Amino acid sequence: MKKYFCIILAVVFIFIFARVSSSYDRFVLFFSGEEQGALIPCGCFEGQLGGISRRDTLLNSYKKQGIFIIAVSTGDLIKSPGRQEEIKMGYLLNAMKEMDCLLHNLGEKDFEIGPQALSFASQTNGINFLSGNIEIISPFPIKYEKYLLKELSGFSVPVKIAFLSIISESVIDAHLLDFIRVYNPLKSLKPVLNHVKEKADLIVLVSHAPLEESIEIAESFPEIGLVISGHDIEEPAESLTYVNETPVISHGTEGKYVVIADYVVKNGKIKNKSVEAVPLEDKIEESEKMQLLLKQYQQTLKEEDLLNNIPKLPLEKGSSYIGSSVCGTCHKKVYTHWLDTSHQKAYTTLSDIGQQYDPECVNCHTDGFGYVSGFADYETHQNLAHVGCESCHGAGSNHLNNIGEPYGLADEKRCLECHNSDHSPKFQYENYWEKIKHPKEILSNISENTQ
Amino acid sequence: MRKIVIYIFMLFLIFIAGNSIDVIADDKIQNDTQPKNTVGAIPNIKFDEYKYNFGKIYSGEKVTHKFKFKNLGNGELIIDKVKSSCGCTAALSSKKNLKKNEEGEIEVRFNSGKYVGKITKSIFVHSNDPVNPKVKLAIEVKIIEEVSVNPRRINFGIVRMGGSCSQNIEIKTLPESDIKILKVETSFPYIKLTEKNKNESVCNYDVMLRGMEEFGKFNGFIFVHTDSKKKPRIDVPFNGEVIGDITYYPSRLSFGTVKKNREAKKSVIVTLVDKNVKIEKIEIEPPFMTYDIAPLNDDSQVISVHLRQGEFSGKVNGNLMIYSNSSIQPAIYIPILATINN
Repeated sequence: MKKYFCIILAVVFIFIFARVSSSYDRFVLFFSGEEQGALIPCGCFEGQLGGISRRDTLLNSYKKQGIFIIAVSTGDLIKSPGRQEEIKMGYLLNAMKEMDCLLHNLGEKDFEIGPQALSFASQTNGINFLSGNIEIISPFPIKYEKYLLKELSGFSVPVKIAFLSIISESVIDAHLLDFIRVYNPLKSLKPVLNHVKEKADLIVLVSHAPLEESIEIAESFPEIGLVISGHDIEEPAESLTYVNETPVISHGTEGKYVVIADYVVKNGKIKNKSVEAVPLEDKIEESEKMQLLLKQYQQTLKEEDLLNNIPKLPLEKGSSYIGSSVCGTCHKKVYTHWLDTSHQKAYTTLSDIGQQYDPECVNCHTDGFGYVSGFADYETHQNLAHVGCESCHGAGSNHLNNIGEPYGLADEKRCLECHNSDHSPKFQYENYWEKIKHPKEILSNISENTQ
Repeated sequence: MRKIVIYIFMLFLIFIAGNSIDVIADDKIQNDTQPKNTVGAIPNIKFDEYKYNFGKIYSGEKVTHKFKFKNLGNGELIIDKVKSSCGCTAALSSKKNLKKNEEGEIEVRFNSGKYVGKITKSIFVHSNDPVNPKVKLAIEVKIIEEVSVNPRRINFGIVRMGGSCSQNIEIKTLPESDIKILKVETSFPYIKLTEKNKNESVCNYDVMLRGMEEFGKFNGFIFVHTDSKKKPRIDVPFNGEVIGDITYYPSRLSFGTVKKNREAKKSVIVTLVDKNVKIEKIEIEPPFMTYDIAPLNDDSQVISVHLRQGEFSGKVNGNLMIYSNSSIQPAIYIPILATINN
């Protein structure tokens, strides 16, 4: 009996030992990027994807499950130079720091911000900047690495991941060559790969290149285990391509999707479980921490008075904006009708959510913003708040001074300036026109009203 | 003893059972991914074409195409949704439910908006076809401009006070359009535009920035006037910054809203452009703010400003004051802004 007991006990212990020793660890690589200034999905309509707030929530859902997660920012935080973009870059980097982001790969649009702002961003945010085939020639010290080797702690076996970076020569604008030198990605990767391939268990390439070029790189270097690519891919779920066993995938543009690469560590080996582009849908809760940061961002826009500091374009034929109520002096019936339309509430919808100091939003919620005599702030241009007469018909001063001078006619092209694919994807001219179409009017007292 | 053996053996069985649960779960996931409705009446969606090329269109133009399809199956075909890869492409199905051999259309409208160059967009048709539940359709288009300006924005970068900087813009017109460039101008007094080589469809301008005597950022527009009816004026924005012996970034320290009794820190990087210039003194106001300095290299240093407001609440309008031996920038005032609330 004792003999049987010992045998069973031995079998049980061997089984348990084998089970424990083969138990796997898991880690997730979480990639986001190409925000191009999109901190939030535009609130103009429901169902839009993206935003740092949902990204944080999704990231935290993995952390809460006790999964080891590494967040990586792949680049192109902004889309153009300018003070608002600089402020955005600062806030996006702050957001990434809050999300414990390991690194930020420099995209060509990040360079648009200029060497001085880039120097500040690289020195003061505590996030590692990466750029594998770029040399920066700047009087301002910019801190960046060619690659990054990350050792994961708390695993049953040591796990090291190498993050490499390249930028395609084809995406660099000529003016950036004033302060950067771009080298051939394939040639630049070779020595780095030789250096890291013995040290790393997994090599990840963050590639700022068209998908075809990234695939070519994956074909040239089979030792790369995962390629996160761009560029300008709007449907990232369709981008997943396997080069032998290496997944090449994009997270798309404007931070609408993230790429989640799930790995298991089993018997001392790293195995890719899944790679997918996950949409940041509105069913994902907003993160309180990020909402606070976004409020701070709006506060900064207000403090810096960006509305009054943007360059203003002159109007054709020396005209200027007069405001809807002035138009209403003669066009009473039309003006009264307009008061009942959604256009008349356009500014209120912004101020209700505290975004009335954001030039990007104000542009489509007021009359003549960005033009000489157009809306600049509510205090001095109350009459130009909301989408008034002059948003569709053009500045009215010439018509006011001389009724023989016709005002502009509203057409679909005008509507599309704001009701565009990003902000109003459901826009159908015929249907929307019915919502704002004026009643017919008879102007009986034009001469006395235009005196 | 026998009882102990049985208990251990039962524990062992439970342990194995635990393993098998994983296997069952895996099987379930696999089953869920199998196509549904594979027996009986099966719908079958078949398009006449899966890709359409609109050819060349002008920027701002809208185009439409109808993709025709048919239900070749013997079950009813249900179009669940039609989704396009971006909002610029609207796609609608003529019918939602199609019986055997019935035909339908997916109308795709493409609005070129501000796109330029070769564009490919995808449309996804989701249906109850068990073999092809998601069909991808694609449109291709080449969007051309009657008049194009390259670059679309001019960045002068950083220019020393009194210095100069030159950039080039190329204006192209489509040879077949017969469009003329009427005038290229700017109201910015420090920019001089000089026409360089010109032929029938390409014109180059030298954009020279010179003589700016004021520090700070500048921006404006260059206007290209044409006789095009579609685009009579093209606005080319420009920007840059004039610096002196010392430059710093950012130009103000904005803390935003800070909770009372919470510490906050903001940094500014100061760079000495002229090697002969030395910082002589740094001061800060209001007094509850402090600063520390960390060098980055021989020319640049980070000044970190700490907000330790104590009992203070309300708006802070302070300054970080940097004094130097520079003749053109003896004193620099960097505004500090914060709102401290409870």
